[in-house]
Amino acid sequence: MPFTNAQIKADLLLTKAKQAAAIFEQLNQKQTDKIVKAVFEAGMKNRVKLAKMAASETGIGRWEDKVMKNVVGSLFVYEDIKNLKTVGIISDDPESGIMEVALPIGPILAIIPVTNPTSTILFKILTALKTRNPVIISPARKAIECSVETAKICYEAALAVDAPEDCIQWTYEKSTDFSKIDHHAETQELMAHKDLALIVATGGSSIVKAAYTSGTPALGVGSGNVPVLIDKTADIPFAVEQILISKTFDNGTICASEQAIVVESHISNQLIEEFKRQKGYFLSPEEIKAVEKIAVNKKGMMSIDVVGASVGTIARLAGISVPKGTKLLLATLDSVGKGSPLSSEVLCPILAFYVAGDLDSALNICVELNFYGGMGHSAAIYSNDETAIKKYAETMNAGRIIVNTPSSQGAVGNVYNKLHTSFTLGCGTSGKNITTDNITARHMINIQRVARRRINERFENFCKIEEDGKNLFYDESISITELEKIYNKNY
Amino acid sequence: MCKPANSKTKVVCTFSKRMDTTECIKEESNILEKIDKAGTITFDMQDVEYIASSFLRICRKAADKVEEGNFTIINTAAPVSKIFRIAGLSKILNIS
Repeated sequence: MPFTNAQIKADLLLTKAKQAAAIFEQLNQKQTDKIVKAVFEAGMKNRVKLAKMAASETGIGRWEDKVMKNVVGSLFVYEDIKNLKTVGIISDDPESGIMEVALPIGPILAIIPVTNPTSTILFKILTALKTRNPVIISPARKAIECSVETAKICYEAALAVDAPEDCIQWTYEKSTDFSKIDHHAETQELMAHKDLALIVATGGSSIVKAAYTSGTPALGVGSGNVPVLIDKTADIPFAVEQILISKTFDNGTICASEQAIVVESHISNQLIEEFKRQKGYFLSPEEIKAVEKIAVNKKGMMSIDVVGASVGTIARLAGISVPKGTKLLLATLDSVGKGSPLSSEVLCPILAFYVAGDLDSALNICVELNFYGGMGHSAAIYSNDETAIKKYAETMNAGRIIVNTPSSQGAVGNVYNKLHTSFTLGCGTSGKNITTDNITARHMINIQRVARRRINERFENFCKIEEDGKNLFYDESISITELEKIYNKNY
Repeated sequence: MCKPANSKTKVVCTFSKRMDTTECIKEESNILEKIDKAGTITFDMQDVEYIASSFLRICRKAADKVEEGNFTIINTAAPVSKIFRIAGLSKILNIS
């Protein structure tokens, strides 16, 4: 059977990637780090240009905030990984006798979302090169130009310091005519290619599912429906300020941004007034209906028209009027689920708002939200009660529990906390991912362990204890408690 | 670097320790000229410790100049042999 165009294209990309992987494997830590530094510097140097390109091409978000995303994707990522040992012997413990050796994993396919194209590319290229893995960038169709430009800038910087040829490739050019290709088939072929080592899929559920079912190991993400619990010990003006910093950042396009506020009734009036004071607008029931129609489609999924849209655009699309200078739209709801469309994830400046009787009621609502499309992703809390924070952390199902900080920037890491910086946030098995980690360079190496002889002393001593010539392990008359006692004797 | 061996159409090439990009750019046209009319080409990798992407390209070009089976790469150290394997070229380029 003749090869399809998709198969030929995948073969060509992976043949080049394999050869780049081979050459890369020879580089030592110093040579590798030189490449990473050069790419970081090139990314930082072009942060404004790439941000403007991304905002203009996608029509999503704000270029100023995309500059900050590019800073995080280059500078913050670089600072997080620059001192990491990723080549050769990375640890050697004389006591345990275990020596760890880092190997590259091989060619990586990086799926890029339309919401954060340039910053995600910077992040994935830096982490891939740090671990000596060639990377193939698969851009979102609506962000081809800015994505290709980002990849090219990084590639040129890498080549200039002797990185292997084809260490960075991309699947489409600015000139690609999508009417003439089968995009879906090409992506499927690439994902399933025998020489691809890993897919790092940042995007919607369909692409992540495709990655996991391709047969190639994959690190993916899940959808977020981030609840924010505000308990009676919260600093209300501070909480509102932080939530606005997060939810208005790039017009709410980060998947870890807050989606719903859940507040204890004792302080709800105070919170509502503070939101109003800080330019939040509470929609009337009629306005909520109008916004629902344009924000969530008939399948219950967020409409692409509102992703990264400004408050003004949302108001215009919904046919409602909001005060000038409004930063955030809030919809007071009394249920979670299909009957309340705005209780689902909507990546724009709209927040659902719930008032609960007490902490337990508030927790229940947060759990409902968590289970309604956000399992494993992120959850936030504003509280000064450590017991409440711990209870929240133990109740929620979220890879990141963000405390007293903006959720968007908090989840990405290293801005308001010590989480590792990442634009690919694992959601664990609840989100159908393999990890809840913030994906970073640490996930892109194969670690080999050299195990030197270190006898298990207790086992050795135990085996020496023989009664009537019989090994005690074969004697079923001895109780487990007694066996354990003998095993641990003098230890 | 490349000399005739045993017969006029058999050429054996030896290389420096590091066949990096600079070295490959410097030597490529010279190597290709020397092997241009060869019937059999052998790349002797005895001293080689490092190869760049451009060296793989030289190998592929050399293999294309002769009939299948008449291009061989010999005396590869294990780390270099591994590179050809990872690159998926060990069978095509007849490594030993």
